Amino acid sequence: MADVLAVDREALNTLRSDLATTADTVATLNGTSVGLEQGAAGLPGTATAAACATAGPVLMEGLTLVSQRVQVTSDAVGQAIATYTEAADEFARAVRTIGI
Amino acid sequence: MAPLTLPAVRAWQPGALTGAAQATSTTSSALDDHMLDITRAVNTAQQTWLGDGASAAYARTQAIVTAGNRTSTALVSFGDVLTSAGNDLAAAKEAVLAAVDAAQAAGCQVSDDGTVRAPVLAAPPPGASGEDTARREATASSAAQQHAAAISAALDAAARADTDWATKIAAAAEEVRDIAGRPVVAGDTSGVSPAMAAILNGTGSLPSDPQALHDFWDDLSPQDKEALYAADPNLGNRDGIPVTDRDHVNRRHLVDLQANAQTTLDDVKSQHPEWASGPPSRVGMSMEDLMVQESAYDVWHDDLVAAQSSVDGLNAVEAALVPDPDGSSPPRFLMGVDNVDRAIIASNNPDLANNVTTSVPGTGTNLSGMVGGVDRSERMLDQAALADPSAATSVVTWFGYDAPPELPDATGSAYADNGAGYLRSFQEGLRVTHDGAPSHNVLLGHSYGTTVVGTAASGDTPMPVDDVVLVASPGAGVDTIGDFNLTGVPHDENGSHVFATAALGDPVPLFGGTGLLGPNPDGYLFGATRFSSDPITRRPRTAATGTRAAQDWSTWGASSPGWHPPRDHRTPRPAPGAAPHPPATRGAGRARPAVDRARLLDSPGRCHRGLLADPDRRPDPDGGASRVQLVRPAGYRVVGRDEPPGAAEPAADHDDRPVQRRRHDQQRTGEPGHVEVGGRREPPAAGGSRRERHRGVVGGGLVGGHPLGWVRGDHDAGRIHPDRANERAG
Repeated sequence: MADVLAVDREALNTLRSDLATTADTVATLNGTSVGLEQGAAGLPGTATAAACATAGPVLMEGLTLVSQRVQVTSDAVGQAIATYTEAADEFARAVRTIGI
Repeated sequence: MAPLTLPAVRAWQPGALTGAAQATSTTSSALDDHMLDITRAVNTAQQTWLGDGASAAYARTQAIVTAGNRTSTALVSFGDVLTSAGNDLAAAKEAVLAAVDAAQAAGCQVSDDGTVRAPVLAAPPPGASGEDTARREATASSAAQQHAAAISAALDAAARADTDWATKIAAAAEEVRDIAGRPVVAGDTSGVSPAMAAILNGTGSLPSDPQALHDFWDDLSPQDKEALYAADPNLGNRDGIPVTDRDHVNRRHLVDLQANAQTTLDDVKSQHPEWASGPPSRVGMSMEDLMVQESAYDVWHDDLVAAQSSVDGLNAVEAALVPDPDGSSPPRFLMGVDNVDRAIIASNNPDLANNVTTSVPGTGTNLSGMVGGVDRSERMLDQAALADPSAATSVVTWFGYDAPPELPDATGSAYADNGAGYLRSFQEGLRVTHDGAPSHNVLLGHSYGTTVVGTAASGDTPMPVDDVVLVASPGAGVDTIGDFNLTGVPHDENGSHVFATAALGDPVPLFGGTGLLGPNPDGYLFGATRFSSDPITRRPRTAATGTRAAQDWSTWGASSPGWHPPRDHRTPRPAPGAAPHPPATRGAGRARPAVDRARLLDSPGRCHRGLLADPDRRPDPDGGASRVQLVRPAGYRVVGRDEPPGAAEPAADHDDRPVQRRRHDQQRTGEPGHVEVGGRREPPAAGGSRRERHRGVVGGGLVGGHPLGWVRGDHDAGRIHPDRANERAG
């Protein structure tokens, strides 16, 4: 129980928040896609342009996979925070009940 | 895909791919930043979060960070592919247009599909025989066929380049997706190539030769590169790795170095918080206790100064990388950084530039002056852009050696001997990683930096640079101009490739009279091509000129006002991303000669401060008090803005913390600037405590034969020791 009470839930919240922000941001890092669209526009009718046009969504797919993985972890940390909070609250109630 | 036509090729704008590559770099950096945030957050949480849940969360986040870093590395590789594609397609387009131009210049008519019609011949001269006419027509027809063949070949090559790069771009994008989606376990090295696995388990080694390393690096997957970086954070300091990859890993390394340096500083402070405000009281102490206390304080203070210096130096490197707020700064690349006061920053990418100058500073250089160093380099870029807007130039601020801390330390060649190997290896690396036609490479030394340059550019092995510039030299470590050994330059032509200047009133070149570092290369008898600088003048300290440091630079900084033109708000900077920058010194790229050397030499040049540049440029309409005639008639015109001497030098260049530190060292050894390491006398490393240097733990380079983690091109420098994989500098 001491370990549970010792957990700095604020630090965990920061971790969860960073993870969530990362998940959101990474999924929207579309600068490369935009750049590739411009690259394709600069080489009209070429195979390179076609490859650029295809590459953008492929890259975004990869970034989305990273984002999803981070989001799952963020959710897990969120659950851990909830569990610790609940345990700490229960402990506090018990202490009050026992009258220590 | 339909056959290429000339209008289609004319419409190509391959530079757009470079923009896409930059966007990829931005995405990669953003991903790095997020991974760093996660790492910091989980480390903080772990301080109070214990148990199975915490362990699972740590493993999970580590896996995420590993996957994110791999993805980021894959993005960098993807960006490299785009950059190379842009360069190749641009070259293909140029070749096609050149072939068309040649045909048209010969009077041929060129159709959109590349077919060529022979020129319409003028009426035959009176009396010409039918045979003559037939011969003329046959000649014209033959020429047309040759032009047609050339155009056809160029179009075919362009089409092949297009197809090849399309395949590579698609493959690189797939690789990013695959790596991003691949499950990762923290610390997992599965999936790396057999060659990399051998290196990681200690049975193989990285090539130490820059060319060999470059070839090896080209075949590595992003996973291999990431695994290598995880094993050796100093990886990005190795010469032969492309600039963008060096920058990518070194920026991450810098963050770790800063964190480690801050931890060290905090530890030192926490040892004696009661001494934070100054030395402890001596009241009531016996002599014996007093001596013990003084000794302990001295050691502690040494460590404190060194730790603070390290933090400040690395922070200065970070600051030097930050783009200017107005967006006018060129892209900056961190080509090297370590925890012993060394770093290398390139302004514009040397791998893509037509002209590359490496600027080697002199006595007193330390990382706290990095912002000023980069600023000076970018003033050279400004001037180069004015001289030749059509060329791309990069200037490298090379704080890559242990510079003499103070003038007395600069009276010997030890620091130059030590730095020369690194400088040579760095230049070899620049050559092998360069994209396209070889760039025009220049070594520019200032003050003791000229000694380093001269030492590196002499000897039996040719230095792979085109020109050498020596500014305010106390002696270049050579006896005669003939001692220089530049690749492709006969010794008797060295005088046309080695340039020297010194300001009137600068005492540093007078040191050449001692002969300790060689004669003054700006002397008449030396044989270098001389150009003039503004005279040194001492200015009073004012709010406008800054601190005494700026004033001192003007006195001892040796000609610096003359060769570093101050950044002038009237001088337009090239737009961000605009490639063109002219050569930073002489103005002649191999691939794109910008200056007619013969005309330059014949030009009775006028001179004002700054850089050697295009003789056709008009002189500064404002005139300028500091303009003087060239020292010798066959000299060079020098461009730049006239500013009060010394105005350009930032106070940061004269940070005195390391000097304090070094004074301690000198007092304790009784011999300025040297320490004993393993029975050998060596120049001191600029960072880390003296005791650490004795123990040889500073630097902690995992890969490489040098204890400081910087690799020279010799022996089996590439071996990785797995049992030291987590060793960090003290």
